[in-house]
Amino acid sequence: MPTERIEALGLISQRFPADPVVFTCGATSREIVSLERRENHLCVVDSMGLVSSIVLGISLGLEDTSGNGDVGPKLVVGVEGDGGMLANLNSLATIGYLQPSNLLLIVLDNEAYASTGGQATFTTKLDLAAFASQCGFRTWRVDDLEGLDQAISEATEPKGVTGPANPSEPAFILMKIAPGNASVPLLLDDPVTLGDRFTRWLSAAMGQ
Amino acid sequence: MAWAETIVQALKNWDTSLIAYVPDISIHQVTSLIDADPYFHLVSATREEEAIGIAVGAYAVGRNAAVFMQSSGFGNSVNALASLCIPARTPIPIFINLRGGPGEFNLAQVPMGRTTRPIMDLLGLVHFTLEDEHRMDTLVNGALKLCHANRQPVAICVTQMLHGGKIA
Repeated sequence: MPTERIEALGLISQRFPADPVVFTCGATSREIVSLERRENHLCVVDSMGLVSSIVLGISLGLEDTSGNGDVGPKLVVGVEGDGGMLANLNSLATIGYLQPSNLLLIVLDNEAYASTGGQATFTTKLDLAAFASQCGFRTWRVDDLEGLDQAISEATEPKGVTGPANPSEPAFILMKIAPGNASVPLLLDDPVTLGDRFTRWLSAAMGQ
Repeated sequence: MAWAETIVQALKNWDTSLIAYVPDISIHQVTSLIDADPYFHLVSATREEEAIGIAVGAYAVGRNAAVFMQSSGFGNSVNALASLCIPARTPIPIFINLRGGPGEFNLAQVPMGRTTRPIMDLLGLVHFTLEDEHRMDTLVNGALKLCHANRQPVAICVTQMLHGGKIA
């Protein structure tokens, strides 16, 4: 039985309580907000495909302000769908070229445009992890919650003898999930409110 | 080149150190200065909507960011502005080489160049156009001040009348 998106989102939220996590628009944002509202979460209410670019901007900003020593998040997580990732494959090239060490992209791949009626995407045939790997990401392919949990652990393991071979490379987890959306309310919050809460949390986390 | 230096200084005045851009031969006069200056972090994007996304992410970390592009690329980035920058009120200055005016050599640049500012008007996006260096310092610094005071993106269009429109 494939994992539902909302179950994967619950695990992601639980695994990253103190790092910035950016969620893609549509059903993904609606479902995470229905589970819980956290200050370290940023829901992008439209702009399909831009989650990976936004997390790159956050990643670069965190790197540039890391003069604070150990203060502040060491990782930024983007949660994208297969449709959104396909809409901005360019971003994999840009991130792969820049090689930020603090960036993790998780693509929840249901092989469908689930928010617009379930039309098939190209991932019925194409492997987004292969694109990411070619661009210089460390990649994982998983299809259940145990696999996602394990991949997150490996992707975020600190540098050390037991860590991954190239822990400084950006990380990409492709998780196949069930099609369909949970029955949850629309997310109608003002993007200014959503953005300001996230930015205030991030500033505080960075000791500013 | 004084115009390019004026823009660089204005970015510094407004603590704007992360610059995302898609290359353009005229804008290169500014981005080459930025690239050579350790104050800045210059990031090349493959398309303009990516550059907008990167700038918005940087702003979320409390880092002021600006975007450089050509008017053709403004066409690419309209929805990123309309659905992200404007509703989320992110004050991103956007410097645009406005093609399609006096001196244009490529007819395919004319439609997007000529519609760039009308589209900005329809979006409610405040924009200024630089035709020469007269009082340019006041205008660019004023535009950046307005950008932050209004908490909205501002476009600053540069033209061949300003930069001479050298082609590679």
